[in-house]
Amino acid sequence: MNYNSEKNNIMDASQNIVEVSSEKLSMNKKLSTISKWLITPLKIIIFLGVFLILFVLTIPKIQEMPFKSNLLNFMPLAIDTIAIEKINADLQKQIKKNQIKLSNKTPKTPYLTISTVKNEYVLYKKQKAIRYGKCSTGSYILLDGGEKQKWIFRTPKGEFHIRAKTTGPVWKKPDWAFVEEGLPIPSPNHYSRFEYGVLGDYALYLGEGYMLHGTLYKRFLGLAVTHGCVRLNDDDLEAIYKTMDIGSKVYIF
Amino acid sequence: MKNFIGRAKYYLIIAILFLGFIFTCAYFARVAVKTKLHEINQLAGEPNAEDPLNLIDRNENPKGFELLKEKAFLEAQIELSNSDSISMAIDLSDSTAVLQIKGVSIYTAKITNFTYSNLLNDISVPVYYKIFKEPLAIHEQFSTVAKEPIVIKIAPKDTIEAAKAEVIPDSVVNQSAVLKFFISEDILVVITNHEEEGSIFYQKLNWSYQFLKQLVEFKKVVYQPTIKLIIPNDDIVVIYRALPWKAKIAIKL
Repeated sequence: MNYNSEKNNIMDASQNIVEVSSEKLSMNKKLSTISKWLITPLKIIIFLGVFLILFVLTIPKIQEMPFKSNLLNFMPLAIDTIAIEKINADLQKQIKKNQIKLSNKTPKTPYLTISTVKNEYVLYKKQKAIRYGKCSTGSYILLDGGEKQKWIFRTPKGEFHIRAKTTGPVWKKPDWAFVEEGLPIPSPNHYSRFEYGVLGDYALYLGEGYMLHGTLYKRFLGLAVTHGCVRLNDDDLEAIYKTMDIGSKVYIF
Repeated sequence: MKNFIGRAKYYLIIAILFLGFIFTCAYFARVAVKTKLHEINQLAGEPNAEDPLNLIDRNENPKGFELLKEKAFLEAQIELSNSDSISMAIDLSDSTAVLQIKGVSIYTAKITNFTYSNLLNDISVPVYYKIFKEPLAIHEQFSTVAKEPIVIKIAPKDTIEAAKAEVIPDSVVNQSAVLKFFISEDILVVITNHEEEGSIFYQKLNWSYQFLKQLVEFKKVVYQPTIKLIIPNDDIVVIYRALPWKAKIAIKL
């Protein structure tokens, strides 16, 4: 009895083992199919990646390799030391001449450079920088007043010269100053156009309405906030006013 | 074993094919440079035995070549000084990029690092002089910052609306700037503020893409000599905004 039941148990167990192993086998088959599907593209990607890296690292380098051959260059004549020295001496003479010619282009009188990007100025005297500091230049705001009324607040670039100088300047407000404030535009010589004390103690005129002048808004110095004029703080303005004469050059870039 | 040999053969064939492709690309890349060098050297015309420039050899008379480069640079700057526009003088031996108006240096930017195509070292001495003794015109410009950071502002209807309007000074200067100047003789001048390894790889990748595209489309592979300058970001913006669209530059390698 015991023997028979034990035999049956063993039979069942072996059947189970066979079932489990066949399940494992089918599982393995599935896994190998999946891995084939995964590994093959992975191999291709790795291969292409290696190729791409190899290509990117080698071809531009190969292209930039210098040419050792002089075939394309003109053949120099037989080297003559005396001739070389003479040529070098001639070149030195020409360089000296050109250097003088070029340095003569720089004004001997005081001049001013203004950067509209950094909003900084440098004052030169005898071709040497004697003072520098912050300033404010055009804001690049395009004021659209409608009906063909548009103004762009940019500081012009290039070479200018001081056309006039004045103390205690009065600002005659142009039309855009009223449009910007949402006010109606008054007649050309209306009293509301004249403002006293807003331009500082001095003004230097560059022409076409552009000036170097002072400001009440000193916290904005170093920023591009003006309507095209160049604003300076009081000390800088005074130094520039006293150093530069009418005709002195101003370079704005 | 048989299976292994079969696979190895398969991989070997693929590797040979890819290497063959790389060699073909390398060949076309070199041909492109050689063609460009030939084109540039043709600028000097037929070699003239009486031309004293032929006595200046880069290797035999390096001092003479340096003097010639200086002479060419000064001549180009003198030519630039005859124009009213803002121009730039790039001196790689001095690591400076100088903005000028009528021969007056108005702003100097320090070049922290630079590289240029080896082709420019391979051009003959007479050709170097011929190219660089004159200002090189910028035919096309590309930049990641705006030339003029214009902000459109609609005029307020009344004083209440005007009081609400806020002033936002230009902040474009803080953006990372990259400049590309396509200049005479098909030279590209790239000005950037950093040289990261990642960006170099990206540039090479981009170059490879363009190169392969030309090959696939059966187009003639074109080589463009490039001068790359690393300059602080603020200075790049100053340079870009100062130079007019059709500016000219003088270069000394």
